[in-house]
Amino acid sequence: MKKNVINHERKKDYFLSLKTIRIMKLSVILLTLTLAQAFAVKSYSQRTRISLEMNDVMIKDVLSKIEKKSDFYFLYSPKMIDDTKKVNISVKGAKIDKILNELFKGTNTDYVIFGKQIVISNKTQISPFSQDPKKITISGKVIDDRGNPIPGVNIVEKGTTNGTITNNNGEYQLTVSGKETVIDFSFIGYNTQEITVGDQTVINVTMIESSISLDEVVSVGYGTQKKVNLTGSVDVISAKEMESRPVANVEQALQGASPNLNITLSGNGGEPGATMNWNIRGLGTLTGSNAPLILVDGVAMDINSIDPETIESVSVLKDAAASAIYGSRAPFGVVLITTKKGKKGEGFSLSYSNNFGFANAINLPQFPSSLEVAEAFNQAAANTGASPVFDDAHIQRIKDYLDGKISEEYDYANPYDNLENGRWEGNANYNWIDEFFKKNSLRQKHNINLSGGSKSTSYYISAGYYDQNGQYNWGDDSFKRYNLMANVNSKITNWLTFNFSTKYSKNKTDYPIGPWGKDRRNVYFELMHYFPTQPWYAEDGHLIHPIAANMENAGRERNDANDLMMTIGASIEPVKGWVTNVSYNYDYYSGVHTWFSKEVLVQTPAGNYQNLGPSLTRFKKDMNTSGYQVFNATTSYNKDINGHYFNLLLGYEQEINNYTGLYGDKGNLLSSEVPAISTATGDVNIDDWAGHWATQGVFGRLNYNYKEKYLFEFNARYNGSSRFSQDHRWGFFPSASVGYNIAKEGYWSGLVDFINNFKLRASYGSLGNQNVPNYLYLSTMDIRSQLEWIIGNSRPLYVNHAPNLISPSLTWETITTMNLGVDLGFFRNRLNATFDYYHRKTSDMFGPAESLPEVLGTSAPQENNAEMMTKGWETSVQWKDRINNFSYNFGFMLGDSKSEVLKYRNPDKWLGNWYEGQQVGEIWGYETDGFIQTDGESIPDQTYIWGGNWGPGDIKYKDQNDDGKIDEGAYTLEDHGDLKVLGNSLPRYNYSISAGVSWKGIDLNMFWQGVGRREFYKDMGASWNSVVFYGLVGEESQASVFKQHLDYWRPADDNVLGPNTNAYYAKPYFSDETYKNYQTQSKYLLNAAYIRLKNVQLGYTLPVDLTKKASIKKVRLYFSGENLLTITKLTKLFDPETGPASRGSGYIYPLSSVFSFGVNLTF
Amino acid sequence: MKKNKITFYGLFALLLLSINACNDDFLNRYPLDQISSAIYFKHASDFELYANQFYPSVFWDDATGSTNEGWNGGIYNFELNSDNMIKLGEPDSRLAGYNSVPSSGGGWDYTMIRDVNYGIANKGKCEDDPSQYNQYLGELYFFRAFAYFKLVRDFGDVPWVGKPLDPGSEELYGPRTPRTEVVQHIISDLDSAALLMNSGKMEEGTRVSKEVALAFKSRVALYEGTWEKYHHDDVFKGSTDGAEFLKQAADAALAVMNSGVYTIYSTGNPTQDYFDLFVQTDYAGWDEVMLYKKYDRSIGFVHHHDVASRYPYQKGLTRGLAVSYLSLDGQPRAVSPDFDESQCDSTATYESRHLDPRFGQTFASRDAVWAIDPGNPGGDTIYWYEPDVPPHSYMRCVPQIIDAAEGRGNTPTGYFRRKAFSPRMDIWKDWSDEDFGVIFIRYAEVLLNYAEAKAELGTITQGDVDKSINILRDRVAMPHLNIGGIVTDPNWDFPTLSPIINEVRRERRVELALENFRLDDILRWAAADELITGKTFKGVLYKNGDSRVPVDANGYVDRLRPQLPNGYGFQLDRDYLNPLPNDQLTLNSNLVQNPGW
Repeated sequence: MKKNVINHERKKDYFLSLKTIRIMKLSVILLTLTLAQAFAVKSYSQRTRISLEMNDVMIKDVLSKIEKKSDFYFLYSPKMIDDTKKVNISVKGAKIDKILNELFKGTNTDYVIFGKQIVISNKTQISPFSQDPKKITISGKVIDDRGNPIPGVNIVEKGTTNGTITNNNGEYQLTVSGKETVIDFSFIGYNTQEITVGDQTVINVTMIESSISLDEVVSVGYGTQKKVNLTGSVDVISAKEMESRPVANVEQALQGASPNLNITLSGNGGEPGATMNWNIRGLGTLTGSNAPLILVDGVAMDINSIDPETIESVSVLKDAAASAIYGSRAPFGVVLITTKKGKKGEGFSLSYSNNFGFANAINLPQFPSSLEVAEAFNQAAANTGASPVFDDAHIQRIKDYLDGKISEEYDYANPYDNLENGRWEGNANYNWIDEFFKKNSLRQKHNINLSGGSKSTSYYISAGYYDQNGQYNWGDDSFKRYNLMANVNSKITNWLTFNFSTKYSKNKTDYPIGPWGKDRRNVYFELMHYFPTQPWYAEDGHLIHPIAANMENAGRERNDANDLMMTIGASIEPVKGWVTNVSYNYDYYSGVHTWFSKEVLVQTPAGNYQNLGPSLTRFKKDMNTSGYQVFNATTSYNKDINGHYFNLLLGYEQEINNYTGLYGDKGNLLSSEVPAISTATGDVNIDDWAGHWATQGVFGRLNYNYKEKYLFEFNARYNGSSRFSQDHRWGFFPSASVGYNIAKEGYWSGLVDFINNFKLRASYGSLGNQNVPNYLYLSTMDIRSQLEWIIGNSRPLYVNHAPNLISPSLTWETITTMNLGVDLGFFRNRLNATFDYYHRKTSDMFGPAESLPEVLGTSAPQENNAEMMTKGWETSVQWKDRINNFSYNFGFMLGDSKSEVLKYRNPDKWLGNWYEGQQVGEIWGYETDGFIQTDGESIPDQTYIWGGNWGPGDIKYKDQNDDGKIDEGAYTLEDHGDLKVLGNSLPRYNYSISAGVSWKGIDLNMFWQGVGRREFYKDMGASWNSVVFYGLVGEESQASVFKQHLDYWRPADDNVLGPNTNAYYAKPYFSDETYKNYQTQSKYLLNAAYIRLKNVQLGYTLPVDLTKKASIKKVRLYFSGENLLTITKLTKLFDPETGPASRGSGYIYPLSSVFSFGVNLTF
Repeated sequence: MKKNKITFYGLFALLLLSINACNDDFLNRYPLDQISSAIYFKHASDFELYANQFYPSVFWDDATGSTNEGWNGGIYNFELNSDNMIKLGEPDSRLAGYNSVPSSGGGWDYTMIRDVNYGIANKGKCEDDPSQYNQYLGELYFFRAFAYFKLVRDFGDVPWVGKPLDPGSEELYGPRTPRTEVVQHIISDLDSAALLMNSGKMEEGTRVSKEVALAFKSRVALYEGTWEKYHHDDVFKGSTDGAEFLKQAADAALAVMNSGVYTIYSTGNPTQDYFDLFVQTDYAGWDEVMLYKKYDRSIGFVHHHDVASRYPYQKGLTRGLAVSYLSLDGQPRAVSPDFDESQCDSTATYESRHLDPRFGQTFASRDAVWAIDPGNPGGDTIYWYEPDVPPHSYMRCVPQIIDAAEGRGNTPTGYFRRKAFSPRMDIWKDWSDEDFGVIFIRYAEVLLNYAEAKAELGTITQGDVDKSINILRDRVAMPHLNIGGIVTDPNWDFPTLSPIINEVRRERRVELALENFRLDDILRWAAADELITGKTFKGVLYKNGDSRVPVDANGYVDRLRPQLPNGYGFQLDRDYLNPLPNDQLTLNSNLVQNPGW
């Protein structure tokens, strides 16, 4: 891509006729060389031999011929070559230096070869002007910061075309027009320096290596921009940073990669194929998704369809200025992902990489021994006034089993006949956690890609495969992903380029269905109920664990998603600087989801057969497809007039998505081996759905900067969406931003060695949020199938409620963001720091209409009447340095946000809903005042909580309002009784730490990620779902005991498990009474802050001398570990990431630690 | 080359122009799979689909209403809210006087009323012949009556709204309509429903019909009639003395009785027929069942009432219910020479052998069939007490109280429910996919409504008793009730009322036990002073004397006494009606809170 620009530069038309923009072009050349050089092959000039046979031609024709025949390209000013002289040349298989020596023999022309680029210069200065008395001839030497001369440095008298290039020794000589002249010294990879001549005649210059990141070109909306010129809040994550974490999906790779880019687990936890939740800079709306817009090569796409190997870079656009050009599509930021492309003239390159990982579930609760479980159960039953769960004989069997006196896992003399009762009947002592979870579950990843390009066409083709096995020991679950991608770019003429990109992905998941027909996410929860007494084996040796049997045999849930995306586009540049891009994208998605359940016949210990599965086999299938089309066209023109740089971009975009689906299920399979609709004979249900939505928008951007010092940008989009009624469909979203590069000021030059970059940024703008359901403005009948009532013999169709009251005036939520930022570079960019403060207000937010009396019988339609605000900041600090062969880096990122509700229709400030002034995430509850320790102890009147008895071991709540009784008052902000705010559940201070060293091919990287502050409350809920946290609650059939739960209150005279009056958990009950002690309260508020070693990687790149003998360019081997260490104060019953992510009940697929190794090969 | 460029650019400009001719057509995207409300209700079938939605609401209190319902034990545990059944743990909050004014909700719900009103309001749109949609329109009237009856029971006076309202409607801020007037509306709706709907069993009793509307009318009218009669002198009174409603109740019941559509189920097996009535899957041929919720394992529409009740799980029936049953000779157990109270023990076995056969079909005892398991090698019928089967088995679940060694089989009273507990073990072993139907209205209630209305009116004759209560007694081979020969029962709940009213109420309690009538009966009879306040509900006679089991002075298990030292705290001037939620009082200043709240 960069090379492409170089080819442009060399076109005669421009080079000679458009002198005024030449300076700018030089900088572009330099910029592009930065990258080009990085890819140069060291020994190309030595390896390449060229044959030429040309007579009576001009030198430049020879050079041109060489470029055609080889990958060499020349950089020169035409003045340096005598364009009158004709030459003859005839060489066979000669090296380049020989040819050039021959060609320039007897001329003033010299050359320097850098890899494939050859800079042509003059041996001595030839002044293009007649001698002028004011003119001064200066000379000097240019060296790098280690004292080595730099050949090929461009030295140009500012504002003119007068210039030269340093020779092989870094020396130059230049005649300039006077003392006031400013000279630019520029060279790829180094910071450009401007020096005023003054009285000097000898000017020696030390060039300072620039950090790549500063001159880096980053993706912004509908284009690219130099990072140094950014005025919005944009963060860039390079492929290199992502490579340091060999994870399977982009979400994991980006977690913690940018401050305030928050990626957290969804309710599916660490399940194979689970997706994650995203937000940028915290909450933006209370009613819908807070997710950013994720664009892959400019097109919205499912992030999980992407193979991380194919990503070139990721830009995170955080503020309104950066994302306003996307208007209502991107209310909460944009993540721009650019995939890898081939490089023109790069030759063929083939890479292969793989990764083999071994995963083990982490942070699982641990069971105590079977005896402890039984005794705890009996105590909870006794507290309830119920008889023992495990009678004396049973306890004795448990003891005998533990002592090795008996080996039977249940009473063989009285075998039980209901497998689900096994845990009550058994006397075994299994640590089910060990049995439930796989050891070293294998996952593997392979990627092969080839890339390259001729002069006009480049290509990048990649194929990837990823296979992840799950963590449960039974009923193997898995996720597989196949990726195929090709990016082709072809330059048809010098002003027209076509590109074509196709991306295909196939994601397959295969899971056992949940036990007893429940959602599969209940697996963990159900497993946790099978405590150590549960027998594994019947007397005859067959397995009798009901969950294991269910997971192995109850049926499967499978998903097969295919996503094919094709983009075709053209880029036209008829006049230098005026670029028009047109592209059309079609994304075809098709998914097939199947689910079947069947009988699970297992012989019980008593000998009868029990069906643990459903009584009826059933097969369900749904298929859905969508066709998503995007068309966009942009045109931009840029021009630099005496340091005044303008870039204007205008564009149009439309999206349309059509989707449809078909669902069917049928009962009674003929054979559960072949589950299909056509092999079932029972009742049939079918359903379908279809829909579409579209958006349309025009947008524009104006960039202006003066000498890259004063920066200004204006963005706007006028956007329409089909989700709103005709009159409320269009919105205008402008933004403006300014920047000031202080370090570019002349007066700063003295400080440049210390602070080489100092930029202030400010932006303000607004965006729209159209992420609401379709058709809120239309009144429709909601017709459904499968009434919850049989009429005659079937469940008929029905209308679900009267139509909702409609919201004809519903329109955008408007998100207004103010951002202040500063970017700093110290010590020649060894240390870079950036800080942003933002303030994001969401107005016209969807909120409830005025509360109306219930006599209305429905809720009034939503209105745009609420408001919230999120304030936050983020900072990152990066240190990078190299000392000889040793390079190292260290990075720290930290982001924080908090949200407040500014307006919400809740006049009574009822705490059950949002209210004005509320800090989002606040947890209301009672303050715990310890346990009641003695009978008759004076406690407040707690009958509001529990009308029955209160006694020793029960919780005493604190009477906050001293009215002698504990209650919630009116549960409003004014009258909240004894409740108070205990904490806040939103994660604060998200941070990450990265560090790496490399030395002679060995590299070591590590990455930590964490949350600095988070309160977490495990709500007891209406049921006993939070058993993982509370343990002995609800009913004996729903309770479970982990080691932590044994820390429950027992009186001073307890002789079973011993006294425990200073316990964590209250006195347990096996009845509703249990809830009296588990009201939301301070005692059980958890601290979910953590820091986690997300990744450590040790790699070794074999010496090139060694590998090139095998014609391999690069071989790198590495070992990597994920999630190796977690530091947290949270109870061991939860993982700090999965705990708060689960569905309000403490059951979720666990995360894993992964040890992996892999190899990267480049041919 | 240059020419190409110009051509290309020309084409491109054209393309851009064509796009920029953007108009709203591109953004007009109307639904592809939903029907606009503007074109609905043109056909009779539209009304059918619309009426269908209300059926799952028939069992109001079974909140889940899903295919997976009943994990809480289902409708036959609802009488935990009355003096027929208790649960270990917290006593029922209304009976205990623990209720408080909710901030919102609390049953003040007009959703169904709006939905019904919307359908009725659109009746003029139908282009089909009225004969094709009258049934469904009638159903809408039935369900409106149904929804209002629920509100009246909970709150008394409620605003009557007969049309779908808008956010701007004045009616939103209207006052509460007096209960008498609301019930008159309900009765008028039920009359409309009866007029419009077809006669006979519709869809085998899964759809409402003319007679279902009339039966329900008798229920509503009896409720209001007795309410207005017995609350006539307290703060909950209606505008009349209730006589008119009682007459309507008797008339409506008589209309059903005269329709000839329904009969009491009986095969001549007095110890089995009553039990069988509640554990059937398909009531197609059962002429006693007027409206029921059907389940069907073959289409996966099941419930879990039994598995959730397989073990008593801390629930138990009360002695109060047990003493309502007459001795086999038709005399009260307290005075019958055939019944020896001292032979009762904690197993209910003696009672089941010597009381009205409905006792043994409602209460579990050792003699009763607990499970029928065709797959069991040891025999296919298992009794509630089987000394030879292993403990902790499917096959053994003796209802026992606290002293028993068996952990999982204890009840707080010693009495455990057998009624509507299906013995089909194959069902509950199969993933507990149970599919026996749940009856909402059965003919027996109509007979009892008739007898009670007549008794309350004071016009009951032996002929009335013979065609109502005595038909029910015939099923279980109990001696007839003879108006002239009523034996005084020292355990009568209402000694100040006439003997016939006491006996009619006894019959109702016995016949409809655990079918979710008891709380309504107590409330409408204003009987909380006799039955609830200051009382606790006892259990079996407990002789073994384990100190952990609280018993009363006479040795009856008194499980909740430690929690309720002063008995249930039902407040007679407050708890007959529920409180209106605070938010509604704030939103509409014309609403006045119920007495005492």
